[in-house]
Amino acid sequence: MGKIKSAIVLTLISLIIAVLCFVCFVPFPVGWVENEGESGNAPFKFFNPIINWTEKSSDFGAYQFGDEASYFGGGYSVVMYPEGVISAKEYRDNGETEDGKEYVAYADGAVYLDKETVCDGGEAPSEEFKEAFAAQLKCLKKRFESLHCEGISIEVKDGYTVSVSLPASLDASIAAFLYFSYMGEPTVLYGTSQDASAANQIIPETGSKQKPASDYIKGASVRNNLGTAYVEVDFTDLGLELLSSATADAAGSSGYLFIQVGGEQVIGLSISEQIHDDLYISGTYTSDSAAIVANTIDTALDLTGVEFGMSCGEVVRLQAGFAGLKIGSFELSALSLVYIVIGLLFVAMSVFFLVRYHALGFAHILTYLLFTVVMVLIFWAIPIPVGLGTILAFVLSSLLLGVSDAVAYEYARKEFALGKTIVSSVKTGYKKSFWHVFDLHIVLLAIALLVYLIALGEFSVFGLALTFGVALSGLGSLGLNRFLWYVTMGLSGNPGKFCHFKREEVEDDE
Amino acid sequence: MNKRFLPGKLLPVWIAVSALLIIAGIVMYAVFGFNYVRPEKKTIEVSYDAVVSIEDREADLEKACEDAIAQKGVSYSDKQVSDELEMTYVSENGYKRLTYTFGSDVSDETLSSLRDAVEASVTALGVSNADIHVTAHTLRSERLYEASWRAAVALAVAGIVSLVYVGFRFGWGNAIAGLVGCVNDTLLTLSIFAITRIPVYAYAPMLFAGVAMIFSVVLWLLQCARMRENFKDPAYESLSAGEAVATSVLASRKLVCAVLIPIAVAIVVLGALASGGVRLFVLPLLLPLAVSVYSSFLLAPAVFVPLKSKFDKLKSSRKRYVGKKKAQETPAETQA
Repeated sequence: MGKIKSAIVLTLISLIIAVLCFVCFVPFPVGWVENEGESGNAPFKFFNPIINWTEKSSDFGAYQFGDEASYFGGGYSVVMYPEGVISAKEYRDNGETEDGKEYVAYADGAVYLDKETVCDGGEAPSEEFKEAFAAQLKCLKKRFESLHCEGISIEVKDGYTVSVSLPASLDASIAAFLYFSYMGEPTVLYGTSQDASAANQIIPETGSKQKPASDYIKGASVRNNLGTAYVEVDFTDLGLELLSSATADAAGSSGYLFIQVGGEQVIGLSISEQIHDDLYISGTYTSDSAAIVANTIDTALDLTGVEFGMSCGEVVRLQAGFAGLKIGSFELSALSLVYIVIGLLFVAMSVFFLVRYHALGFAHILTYLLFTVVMVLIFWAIPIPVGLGTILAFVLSSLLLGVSDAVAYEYARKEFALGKTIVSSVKTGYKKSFWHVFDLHIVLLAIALLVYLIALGEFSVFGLALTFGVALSGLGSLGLNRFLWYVTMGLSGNPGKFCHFKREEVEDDE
Repeated sequence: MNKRFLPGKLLPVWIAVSALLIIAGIVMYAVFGFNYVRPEKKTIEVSYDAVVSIEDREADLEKACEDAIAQKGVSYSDKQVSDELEMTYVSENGYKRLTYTFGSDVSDETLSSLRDAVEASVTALGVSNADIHVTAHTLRSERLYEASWRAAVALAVAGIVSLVYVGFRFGWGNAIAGLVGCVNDTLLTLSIFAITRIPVYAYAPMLFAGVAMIFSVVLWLLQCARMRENFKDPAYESLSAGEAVATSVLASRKLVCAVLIPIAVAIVVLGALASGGVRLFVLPLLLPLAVSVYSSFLLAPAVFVPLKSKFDKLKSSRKRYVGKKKAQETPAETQA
C-alpha cells in the first residue's frame, strides 16, 4: 500500500475508533440545562457514555435513577420472618403491647420469638419449630435458585430469619420475595364468588380423607408459547377427579377457582366450563413472573406438615456488593477501580508492544481498542450485566488477543531474520501461526459456549461474555490486525525498522 | 537438549508423584473431608426516619456511628446506606438503613458492645424523634449448590469436547495423553485441596477440578500444536520419540508461558480486587493452574512418548505395506 493511501486509510480508521471510544467511554456536554443554576449543578447536559448504560451486576453496580442515567445495578434485599418471629423494631413498636403474646429475646435481642408458638412455652425454640425452619430454608433455597440469575444471596440471619438479596436487573424481584415467602401446602378452592374466603377447599380433601397435597397435584411448571407465558398445574388422577366433580356446574353458572399456598392466593381464575384436564393459565404473566408462580406451587408440595408461615420485612434497596476504595475523604467505587485496573493493564500491554515492536505496536493497539469498543457495545446491546464473570471474560479474551498478535509478530520476526522480505515474512508468519491461534480460539470458543449453555447465573454470564470475547479476539487477530499491519507499514520506507525486526547476522568467512 | 530431561524415562517418577499425592489426598479426604467454610459476617444496623426529623443531620449520624466503632478499636469492612421500600409499590417509605459489616472474627461480645456504643453515640446526637433503632446481627451465608455443580458439569463436558478436537486435529495419541493429564489434574487438584486444608465453599472443589481440566486441555493443546509443527522439521527425524518430545516440550516453554503468565496475572489482579468471599474462590484458581503446568510439561509428555512410538511404528508399517503393494502393482501395470 502506498504512503498516501496508507495515511488516508489509517486516519479514517483512527477517527472511527476515536469516535467510538468517545461515545463508549467519555461523558461530554450536549446542551444546556434549563433553569440553570437552580440545582447548583453544572449548567451542561452531559451525554452519558455507553459504558454507563450497560447493566451492572449486583456486585459492581450502583443504582441510579433519573433521565440522565437510567442504568441499574446493586439489588434488593428482604428479611423473611417465620411465623412467631419478629424483629427487634417490631417488638419495640408493637410486640410489647400486643394482646396475649409473650416474646423471648433471641440472638442478643436482634429478634424476638413468640413464647407460645415458637418456644412451646419455654425459653428456647422448640424442635418442631427448628424442623419447620429447616424445611422453610430448604424450600427458599430451591425457590430462589430456580431464578437462575446472577447475584442471588441467601443468608440465615440471627439464627431464625432468612435474608435474601436479588439483583436489580431481575424485573420480578419484589414478586419473587412476596410469592416465595408463602409457606405451607398448596390448596385448591372453588366457589361462586370472587371472595376466596367464601370458597370451599377441594384439594386436599378435608376431614378423614385428608392426604398430602402431592397426592392430588403432580407439580407446576412454566411454558412459553409464541411470546405468551403459561403456568401449567399438573394434577394426578385423583386431583382431576375432584376438580372435575367440583366444577361440574360451572358451565351453567360462573365459578371461581383459587390456588393458594400457605393460605395466600397465588392464582385466581373464573371458570366457565367443567375442568377435565391439567390447567394452563396465562394472563398478564411475563416469563419471569410465571416461573415464580409455578415454582411457588411446585416447591410448596414438599411443605406437607410445615405449620409455620413466613412473612417479609421491609424491602431494602442495596448498593453494589463489592466495596470500593476509601482513602480519607477520597472514595472510589469497585467498578471505577476495575476500570482503572483494566486501563493500567492496557497501558502495560501498549508499552510492551511499542517497546518490542516499535511502530507495529500501533496496529495491535488499534485492534485492541476496536475489540474493547465492540465488546462494550455487545454488553450494552444484548445486554450482558457487567460483573465479576464479565470482567474476567473480558480480561481473558484481551489477553488472548494480545498473545495471538504477539505470536504472529514473533513468527514474522523469525522469518524476517532469515532474510525474507517483510511482505513474505508477514505472510509466512501468519501462515505458521494461523493454526496455533485457530486451535486455541476454537477450543476456548467451544468451552465458553458450553459453559454458557450448561452453567447458570454468573458462570453462564461469564460463558456468554467469553464466547463473544474469543470470537472477536479471533477475528481481530487473524483479520483486522493483519490488515492494520499492512496499512501502518505502508507509512514507513523501512519496514524492518518500523517493526523493530532485525536480520540474523551472518559471520563472514573471510 | 538436556539429556536428563527425557519425559519417557521419567514416566514412573511422575506416576509415583501423582499417585502418592492422590492417595494422600484420598486418605485426608476420607478422614477430614475438605475444609469447607461457611462465610459468616456480623453487622450493626441503624434504621432511621430520614425524611421527618433527621433531614440534614444524616452525615452527623454516620459520623457518630463511625466514631463509636473507631473508639472500640474495630474497623468495618463495608458500609451501606440503603433506602427502605414499600413492598407493594416499590417506593421509598422515608426510612433509611445504615449497615456496617464486620468480619466473622468479631466476637459476639464485641458486637454487643459495639451496638451499645453506637446506640449511646446516636442518642447523644439529640435526634431522638428520628425513630433511630440500632441492632446487631449475625449472618451465615447459604450456598446455592445448583450453580456450582452445573458449572463443574459444563467444564467437564467442555474438557471432553476439547479432547475430542485434539484427537481429530493432532492424533489420538495426543488425545489419550491429554486425557491422562486431565484426569490427573482433576484428581490432583482435589487431593491438594484435601491435603493443604485450603478453605473452600461447598461444591467449590468440583468447580476447581473442572477448571484444572480446562487449564490442562488448553496447555496441552499448545504443546500438541508445537509438537506437530516441530515434528515436521527434518532435524527431528533422527531423534527417538522420547528425545523428540523432550526437545519440543522444552522449545514450547516460551509459548506456554506467554499464555500462562497473563492468566496468573489476571487471577491475582482479580483476587486482589474482589471482596473476601469472591477472593476465596478466585485466588485458589492458581492451584489448578500450577497443577496443569506440571501435567502439560511433565506427565502428559511422558505418557505421550510410548504412545508416539507405537503410533509411529504403526504409521511406518502401514507405509511399508502401501509401498509393498505399490511395488507389486507396478510390474503388473508395466506388463499390461
